[in-house]
Amino acid sequence: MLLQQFVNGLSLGAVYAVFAVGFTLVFGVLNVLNLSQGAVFMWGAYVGLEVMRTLHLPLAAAMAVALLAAGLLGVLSEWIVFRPLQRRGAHRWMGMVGSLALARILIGAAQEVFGTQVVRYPDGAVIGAAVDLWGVRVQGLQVVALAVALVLVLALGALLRLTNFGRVIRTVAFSETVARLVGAPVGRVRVATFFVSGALAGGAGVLWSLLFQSVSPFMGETVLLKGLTVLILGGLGNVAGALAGGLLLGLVEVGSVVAVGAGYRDAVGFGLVLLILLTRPTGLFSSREAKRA
Amino acid sequence: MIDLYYAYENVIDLCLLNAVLAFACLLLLGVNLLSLATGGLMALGAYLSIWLTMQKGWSFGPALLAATLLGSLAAAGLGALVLRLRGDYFAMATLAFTEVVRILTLNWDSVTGGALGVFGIPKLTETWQLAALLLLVVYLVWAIRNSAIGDRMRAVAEDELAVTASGHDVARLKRALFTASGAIAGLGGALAAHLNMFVAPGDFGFLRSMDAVLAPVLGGVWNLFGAAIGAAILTLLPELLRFSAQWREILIGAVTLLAVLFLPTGVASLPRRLLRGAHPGRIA
Amino acid sequence: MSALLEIRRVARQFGGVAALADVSFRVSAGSVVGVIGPNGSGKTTLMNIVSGVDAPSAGVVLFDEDPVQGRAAHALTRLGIARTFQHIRLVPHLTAAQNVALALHDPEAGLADILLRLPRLRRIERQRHERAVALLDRVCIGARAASPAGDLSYGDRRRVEIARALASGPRLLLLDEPAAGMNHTEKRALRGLIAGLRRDGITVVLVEHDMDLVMGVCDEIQVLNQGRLIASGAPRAVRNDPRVIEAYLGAEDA
Repeated sequence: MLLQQFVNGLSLGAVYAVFAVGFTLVFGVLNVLNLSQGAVFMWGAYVGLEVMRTLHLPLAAAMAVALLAAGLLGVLSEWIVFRPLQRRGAHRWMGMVGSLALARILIGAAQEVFGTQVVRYPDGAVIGAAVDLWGVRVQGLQVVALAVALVLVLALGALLRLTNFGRVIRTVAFSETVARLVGAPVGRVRVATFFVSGALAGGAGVLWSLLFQSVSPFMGETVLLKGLTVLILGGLGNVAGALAGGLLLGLVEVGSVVAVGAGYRDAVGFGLVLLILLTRPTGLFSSREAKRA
Repeated sequence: MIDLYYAYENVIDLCLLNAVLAFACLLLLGVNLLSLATGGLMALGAYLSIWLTMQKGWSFGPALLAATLLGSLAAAGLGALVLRLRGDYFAMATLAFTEVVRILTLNWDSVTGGALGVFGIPKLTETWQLAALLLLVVYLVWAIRNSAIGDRMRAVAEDELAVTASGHDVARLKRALFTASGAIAGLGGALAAHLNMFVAPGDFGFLRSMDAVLAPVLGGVWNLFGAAIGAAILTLLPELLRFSAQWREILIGAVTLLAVLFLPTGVASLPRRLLRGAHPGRIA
Repeated sequence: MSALLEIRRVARQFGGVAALADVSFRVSAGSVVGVIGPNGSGKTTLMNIVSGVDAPSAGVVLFDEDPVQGRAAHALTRLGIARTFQHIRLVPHLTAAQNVALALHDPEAGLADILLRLPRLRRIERQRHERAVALLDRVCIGARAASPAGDLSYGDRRRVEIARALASGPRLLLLDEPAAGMNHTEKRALRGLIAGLRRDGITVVLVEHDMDLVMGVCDEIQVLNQGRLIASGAPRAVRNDPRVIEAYLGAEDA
């Protein structure tokens, strides 16, 4: 039983992790909290759904299109919210308010375009296969979720650590002013960062819809808050921390459902956040001091 | 005809209430504090007051007082914990608070009625009460902003260290402002609950907190009355667009975004410029 | 003469770097003490520790024989330690008088006065304004009392900051590079101002790079280099101290 919950927690956590990594990436590189990330997550799920439903393409294609569309939405938020605000030297919370406003527009638009009822991915998408390992029922879907999460995050890690562009990104993360001075293409880094984080959010959206068999215009709201929780857990701007934090949150939530029942599941994460903010504000996994908040 | 009148009365009441909450947020924005705890604090005031009037037979006045007290105590307690956190962390902690309250009210069925909410709340809130409260709050904010304390707040928004070096306990100032905003939020929650005869946990969540903060940002470019103007805009828009809930959301989002982008703030942060507008003749 | 301020074996570590190590000296009441040293020698760190903005990793700071540690910065200001900052910290859109009044604690309007708009409020505000202008006069910019601080020249803003520091009625005034960005005339005025402060019984600790100013107005000089105190004494002696010369020359080579 415990092992079963462990597997469930991991796959839930994998989705949280993918979402949170995108979230924390933007913070780490560009020092902003993009609160439209939840709405992008939702749109990714819908785009994937439409690709399968209307175009009758397989899941892999749907995922690819969703990643692309969500990435573009990420770039949109850079273009109409964060870039003008940064140019103006506006205070930090303006970015938060602005991205929330954008989220509202996106949610309203999704309701308008896709309707307000909860829908689900077509049956063909759901990988019904399940495997019994050591008395634990591991759904094919859960394995896929975990695998996709790992692949996406590792790919991102490789990009950051091993490529030239990754080095440029890390320079900008260190200091945008310095990056400009050394002639780094800051504008391109900004766009790329927002694209990647948007894509990750969209990918997480597709995974979530598959795991939980539901898509609705409001699915992003709770996940956004969960994403913030993971950010705190793992340390703002810490990609590895977001991965670990996401998995941890998934496990904690599933564990809490077992312990105190489903009603308080969402509160557990927030309680954890408050606790951490009060004792170790830099996050459980962060070693360096949070220099920016 | 009578229905039309009552419909308008409700809108006016909502405008007044939202304006009151907007001023509570304005106080905090004046020292660069973005608090999303308004929803949670409102919920506490709302549910306590309902419990008192409906289950304990209290009259409205004392119930309102109790709600105000609970709001201040909760804010004082929360503030002691989270005010020392920096910018983003503070906002997130207040958001976590609102969410925790929401989930607690969702689950505490016996007192709060759970997800279904509470029906049949007596409509005790009247327009004159809201108007009087708004006038009081406006006066208080005006009196404070136009005094040495107001100068101190403006200074804190600009440079906390300078204020500390001048011999003032900035943390205590923030705690006082936060407690005051908690009192207003608690009272506002109680008034809101007895206005629409029905409450549910979802009424006091993330969106409620955001709307309270958006109002001063929206209307704020003019002066002290900006918070009220912003609240009026945010309240009236949904009424004007009755025909589509979806487009209502899109429009609110768009208007807010435009306000954020195009308010002429320059390098200075908005609340400072907004509240600086209390001095006539100063360039916006 | 009693020591108003005593720095006793103060050290400050940041990670692996020692910004200050084993610094000890005393400041007599009513004197003007200069603290000099090349960039990075720890002068501002020391100022931060004395004013309560930072805490030492080791050692104690005694003000009037009471330890400074454990007291909040704002409390220290109330006890009589005031300071100015290397990078001027004024509120640009408040007037010079309003900036100075920030640190005025006497008279002060209470919350009741403000909320109820009691008659004494106007009297108190008028008194505060008069005191602020008087302080600005003392630093010779009384004429600019009504100007927004953001409109003032660099030198004028420095003077406003000094006036603000004086507003809290300090016994010990820490000046962190007050002459930076000042022209020759302004520096002479500053020298006169500091001498005037000494006449008024205020003890001054002056962190400065400008040697002429330091040599001209200080009774005693402490020299820091890389976090350590390398020389201390009367201006003439310190100026000719080979270790001091080497520290500065060495810094120039670096």
